[in-house]
Amino acid sequence: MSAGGEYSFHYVLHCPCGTTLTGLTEDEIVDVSFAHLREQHPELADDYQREHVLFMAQRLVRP
Amino acid sequence: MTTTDATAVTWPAWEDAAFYMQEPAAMYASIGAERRAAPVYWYEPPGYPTGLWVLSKWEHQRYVGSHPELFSSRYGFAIGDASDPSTVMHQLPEWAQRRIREGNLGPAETRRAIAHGKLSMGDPDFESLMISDPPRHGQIRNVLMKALRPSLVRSLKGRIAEIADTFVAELEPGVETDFVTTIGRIPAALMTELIGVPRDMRERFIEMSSAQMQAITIDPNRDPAEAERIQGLVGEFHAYCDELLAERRASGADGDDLASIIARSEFDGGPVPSGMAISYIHTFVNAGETTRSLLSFVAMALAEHPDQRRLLVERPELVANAVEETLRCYPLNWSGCRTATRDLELGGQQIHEDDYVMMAYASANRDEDVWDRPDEYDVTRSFDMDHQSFGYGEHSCPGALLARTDSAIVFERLLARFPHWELAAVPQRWANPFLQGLSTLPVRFTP
Repeated sequence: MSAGGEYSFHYVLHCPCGTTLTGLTEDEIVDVSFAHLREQHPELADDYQREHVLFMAQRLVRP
Repeated sequence: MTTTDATAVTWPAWEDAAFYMQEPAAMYASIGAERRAAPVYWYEPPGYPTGLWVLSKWEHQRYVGSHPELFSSRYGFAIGDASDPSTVMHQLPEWAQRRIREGNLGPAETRRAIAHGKLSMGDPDFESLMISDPPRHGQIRNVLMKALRPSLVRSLKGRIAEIADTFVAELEPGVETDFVTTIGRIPAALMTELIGVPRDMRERFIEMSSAQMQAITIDPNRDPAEAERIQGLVGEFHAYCDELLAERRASGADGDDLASIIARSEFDGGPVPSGMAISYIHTFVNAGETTRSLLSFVAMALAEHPDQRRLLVERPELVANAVEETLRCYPLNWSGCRTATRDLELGGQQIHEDDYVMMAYASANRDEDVWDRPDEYDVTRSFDMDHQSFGYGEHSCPGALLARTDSAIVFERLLARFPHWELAAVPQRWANPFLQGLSTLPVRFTP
């Protein structure tokens, strides 16, 4: 929260495996999430599309 | 053993429901005292056959959650699973009782027999999501996740909003209302719809499935007559689920409801076994009940913190944040347990193979090394570090996305219609050593 009472947000995605992923923009959270999928859940990588990531990601207050 | 630290704050009696029913400030003072003095603590609950490790720090819980090869879920998942078997025998099926009486089991296998018995739906071959490890756990979980896939949950947003609007429209401004039995019924309405229960059966279905939830909560103090009543309803619940699945199989099972998904899914190359199918259905019901608790705690917190509620009215994009903050401050599950698979060191303590390890989520959610002002309810808090309320790792809550989505939509709609509400009486909490919720939340809404 800034001094003026404004809040900055970022995207947070809690992967069902328990890992928390963050990104400042939609593109960033999508990139971070696909990298995590490829590395940790390669068998699921083809099941997810950009829109799925954006739906699962929450727009929460940024530190 | 209940221990005190230098400031004479009594440490938690983790196994005792009364501990969780005291004033929250006193309970969290007790939890905090233990966390600061003994973050990995060997606790011996009175009357239990053996002790267990209590992990109070977020960091240690994350480690356990991310290492299922070191910390198994096979040998119990709740503190009550480590109870003296003689105190819980009457809540278990005959085969589990026999296994405990005649099996000459060690502590870990005894916990498994108790946990397996209470979850088993009476079937000794039953495999449960709760007490399985990778890779088997993933195979069991995959069927359930088909019904909770993001694209399906996303498609429900409009329907959730419709249901929420229907319930919100029934609220009378200025009149005392019990939130738990009004808005709090939205998740059950949604979940029965998602399961595929016909509208005229939904109330009865919720009653039967509530008994199933009681049946899997081990309570050494439960009256045998009450245990028998619960088992009767559980039997009805199982029979109804079997009937529902048979009907889906007969009609082609091409829907997106859970019953259809189970009916057309395969497990180990054959149909999903009956007990497993029922447990999937029960998981959905359970998710509805826990989401009811979550909604109730959000409503209570916002009644008690009107400044925070006003902020949400002005900035509805903070509602998702408010849901997370409520989950952090009011965890629906107090804790989760694992069993060490080998000797190892954690937090400077030597943990031995087969030791029972309890992750105290309520403590990690207020760990001062993770959270600034941990006892303060702040809907603008950032969540780069996730709370523990949905667990972590392979066993994290499969319905978390749906619960978050459901809760955010309900409060967006509610706040748009009623920006103000206040407590009309003191809320009544219920708690056992595993779960908590509100039994009543009298409120008064005003536009």
